Amino acid sequence: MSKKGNNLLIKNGLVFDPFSNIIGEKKDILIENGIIVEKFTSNNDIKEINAENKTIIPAAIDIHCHIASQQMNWIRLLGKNNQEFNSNWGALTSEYIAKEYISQGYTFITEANVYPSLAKHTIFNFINIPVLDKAMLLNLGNFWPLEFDIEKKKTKDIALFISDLLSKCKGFGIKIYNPFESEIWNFNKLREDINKNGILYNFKAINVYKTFIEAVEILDLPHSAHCHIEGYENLEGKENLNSLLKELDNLKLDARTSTKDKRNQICHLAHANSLNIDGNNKNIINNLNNNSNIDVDLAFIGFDKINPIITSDRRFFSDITDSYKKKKNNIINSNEFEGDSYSNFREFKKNEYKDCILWGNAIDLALNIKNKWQIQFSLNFPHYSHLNDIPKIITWLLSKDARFKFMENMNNKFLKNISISTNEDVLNFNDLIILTRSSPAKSLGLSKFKGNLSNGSEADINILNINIDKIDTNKDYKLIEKAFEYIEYVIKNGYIVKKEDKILMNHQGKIFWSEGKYFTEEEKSRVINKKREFYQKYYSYFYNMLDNDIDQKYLKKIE
Amino acid sequence: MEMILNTIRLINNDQNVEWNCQDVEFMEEHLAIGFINPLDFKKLYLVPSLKLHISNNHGDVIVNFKQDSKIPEGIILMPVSLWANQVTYVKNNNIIYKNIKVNVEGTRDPPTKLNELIEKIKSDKI
Amino acid sequence: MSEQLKITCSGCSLLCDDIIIIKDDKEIKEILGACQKGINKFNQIKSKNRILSPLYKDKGGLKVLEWDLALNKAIQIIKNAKKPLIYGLSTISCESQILALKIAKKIDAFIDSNSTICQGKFLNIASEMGITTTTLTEIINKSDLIILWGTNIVESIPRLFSKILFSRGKFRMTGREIKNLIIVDIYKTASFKVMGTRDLAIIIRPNEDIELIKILKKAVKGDYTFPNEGISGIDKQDLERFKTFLLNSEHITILPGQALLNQKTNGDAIKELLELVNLLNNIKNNGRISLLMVGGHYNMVGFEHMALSETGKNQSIQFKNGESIKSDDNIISKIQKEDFDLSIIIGTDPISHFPLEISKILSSKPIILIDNKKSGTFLIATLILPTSITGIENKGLAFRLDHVPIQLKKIIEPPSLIQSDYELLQKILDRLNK
Repeated sequence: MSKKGNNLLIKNGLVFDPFSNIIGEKKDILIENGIIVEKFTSNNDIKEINAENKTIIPAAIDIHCHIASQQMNWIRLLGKNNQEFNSNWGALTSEYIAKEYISQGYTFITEANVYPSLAKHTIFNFINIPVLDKAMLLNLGNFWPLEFDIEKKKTKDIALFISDLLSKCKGFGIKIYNPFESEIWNFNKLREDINKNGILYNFKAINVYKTFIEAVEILDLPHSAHCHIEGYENLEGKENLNSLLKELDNLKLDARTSTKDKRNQICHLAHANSLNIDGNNKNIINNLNNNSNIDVDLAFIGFDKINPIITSDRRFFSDITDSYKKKKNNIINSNEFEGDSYSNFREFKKNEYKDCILWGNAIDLALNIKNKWQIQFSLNFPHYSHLNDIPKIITWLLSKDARFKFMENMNNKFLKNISISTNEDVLNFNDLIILTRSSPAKSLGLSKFKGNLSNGSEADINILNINIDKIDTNKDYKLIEKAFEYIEYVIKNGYIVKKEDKILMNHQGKIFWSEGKYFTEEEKSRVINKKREFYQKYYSYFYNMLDNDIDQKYLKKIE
Repeated sequence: MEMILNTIRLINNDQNVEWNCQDVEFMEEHLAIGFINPLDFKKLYLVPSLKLHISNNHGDVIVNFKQDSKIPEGIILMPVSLWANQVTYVKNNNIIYKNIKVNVEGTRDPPTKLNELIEKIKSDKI
Repeated sequence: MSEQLKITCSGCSLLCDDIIIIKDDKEIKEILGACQKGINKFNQIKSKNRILSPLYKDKGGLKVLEWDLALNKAIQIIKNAKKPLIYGLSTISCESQILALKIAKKIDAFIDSNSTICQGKFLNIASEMGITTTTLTEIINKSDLIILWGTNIVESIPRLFSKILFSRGKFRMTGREIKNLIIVDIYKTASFKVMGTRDLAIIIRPNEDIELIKILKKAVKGDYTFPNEGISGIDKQDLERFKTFLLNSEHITILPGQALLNQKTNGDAIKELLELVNLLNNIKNNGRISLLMVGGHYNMVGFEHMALSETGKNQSIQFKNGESIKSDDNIISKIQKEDFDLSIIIGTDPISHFPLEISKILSSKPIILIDNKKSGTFLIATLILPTSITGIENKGLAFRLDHVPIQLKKIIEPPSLIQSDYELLQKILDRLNK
């Protein structure tokens, strides 16, 4: 075995590689030193896998999950005596998470909500989650060190600071979350309108999205600004979404030129299925169908009996827990002047109107957004669904028979009122591969490495024990479900990490990070020195404490 | 006389510090100590040359004492240490460090030495 | 050549990152800005009670061992044990804690940290009831009321007040003038000395905290008048002021101490306190109330997080066949039941901390001690493996009392042949895996 993994030859498989426009072609895949190659440099030690009658696809990529953070530990703490949680979710230990992701064909995950102060915790967890490659997004929505820069519209200074933060924390991108709502910290009083100025800051909350989006574009980070809409699963969330869409229209940033290696979007909307809780998704569908600047991930609902709530959205949490008043066992933590985190459990029920809407929205958007490269499959794991629901979810997308069967005992009001309940459209298999693999890679700006099978890409591959060409995806959905339940091979950087039932955990993944465009120390120090002062004045630690002292071998910098 | 014993943490009577850097005599002086209210001092008929014998069902120990008018009557405070742990105990799998009923008397015997305590712990060694 | 460095102190769980040291190639010459506890930590480097070689106790007393022999001895003792305990772990880095968990898994041990008999009890109760917590920067910038309940911060975490009380925050520009303090204790501890005229000193009769919390719960709901004679030794006027503070402050942080943990009612005082916090957060329209746990050891919180992410449990983990299994035991019950045949003690001194009855049982079985200085446990232990001092002689990650991760750095070289906890535990694990 070579140092960088096997030299592998996967022969005669049916290949789906949307990036290269290969849709179900019989083709050999050659892997040398962990990379997909056209030709082997030597013919020694080549291991062959016969993939005759099997389907070969890139490994899956999760663009939005919450698996490595302090908050995850609050969930574990809350669940420690919960039988259901321990048996169905394996207490969500690091090892369990890695195994479940590999079983579902994933090799890359994005932890989507990390406060800079707690970044070290996430990085430490990353190192202890084997096999998977990982990246994290820093949540800067309530980041007071940037208050005056936002007010004075010093976008370039903001960009410089973000770049320095990312390089210190080893972050990959940024998340904008309920901008500056933490000026009020009461649970009963929530702000009325994100279009108004704050009490303690002198700009509109909505402007923060715009400023950050511009800053990310200055830095040309691999991934766009990752936007969370305040008040998701809530009618206020819809209004806030509409405000943001309007704001983006006004922004008039030039559309990015589409290259293979880079993303198209300038704004990513997180779990977009949770934003129109009235079940009417026209705002998103129309916008995306006319505009390539935005993309969305859809967090599918698996209707699990117990589902962790991992959120930082006070409005969402206050609402869902009117339960807050009834249900007391919430773990709430406010973090270093950077925002809150809320943890608890809930149950998704097929007879609950709202839960069905969340489910239906994901499918509605997946079917009706025309350009599938603007959509990414996610579960907001573990917030909306368990990873082992994926095979079932896939059938809802590929087969109307599967979907209608599942809908049989859903909430009546939902079935009567919501159009998705009668929509007979489905995705084709190639669309599914775009949603789950290629599009997340593109949106994250990682298509040079991930989500495709072209020469030079990292050899992250799934082999399914099914010949997609020979089945009717609508009727034979059980076969598809089975093929995804038992993915025969999962290959990561050329290593076989899963073969049938056997999962190998001795491979260490990388932490992907980026600081974007290069700035000179001189340019940086002008801005950073001021930030140091801010930290000295208002923080419990010095700015330099954000430095992450980890071995380079764990890191991969994306330029 | 029956009193309530509370173990506490004091920066100048910290067993961690004592173990770290000091001589055994110094340690004994700083950890084998109880703090009581002057009124209790009178009630116990103490004189400065006496020591306190503290006991309950769980064990007993002899320590020095200091008077401190801030301490409420009927309460004896001791720094967390081997000495205090002669009378602490376990209830429902928890160690009870506070509000421990003890009997306190004056004594002419010297404070319990560290090696006596260690011998006590070792004595049943199998 | 001497140089000046800004370093992080691992003297207590506050992990102050503003300590200045002046050092040369070999040693630290001067320490500026550290508190008494911090200085003590640095004094460990050259303490005459420092352990500088592996030691083994046989009939002839303590014998110095070569490292290789000592490690073999350790492996032999561990392999002979069927029910090992691993205990301590609050004064080692997170990296080392992960290794200790791996060793526990390998040898089917019961592993527990000091937190079990300390602040960890809060988390155990929070796992059933939930909790609202906060961190230091939050308190600096937002808190206008800090409540010390049964904890003497000035002597246990000496510099905490200078961070959270005597500081100016972004939303609390006037600093101490707007930050009020309530201390509840059975006597006037050293912490009371910082109190000003607007602050509220509550001297409560021992073991009656729970009564006070219950009464406050009734009072903040609004349908209750305090009895004229007061309760638990507290004046009616003070109770009224307490209530007013709770209802009118915008950002309240309660620092609960051992006194609440040790109520004879067995945890009920904590439950009542968590309920009071919940209640206030539900009825208050002008702010928030949170708890800040104030454990003392510099990485006690770290173990809770490491254990949670590796096993789904924060403490008291029993491994069997390499899996963590359900267990209602904690370190105390394991010892009390004599359900062990070896204890591996890492960076702590249970012999000094446990009641006599427990120490006696603990000392009746072999003890492997991994630590850097002599202690009560040192005097009893069978095999002693010394290590370097984390945060001074080796680096590592630790979690501050408010669950914020802080990096500790290596400042000077350890004494010759002394390795870090991490290196030592790794060697033990490697040899066990062989």
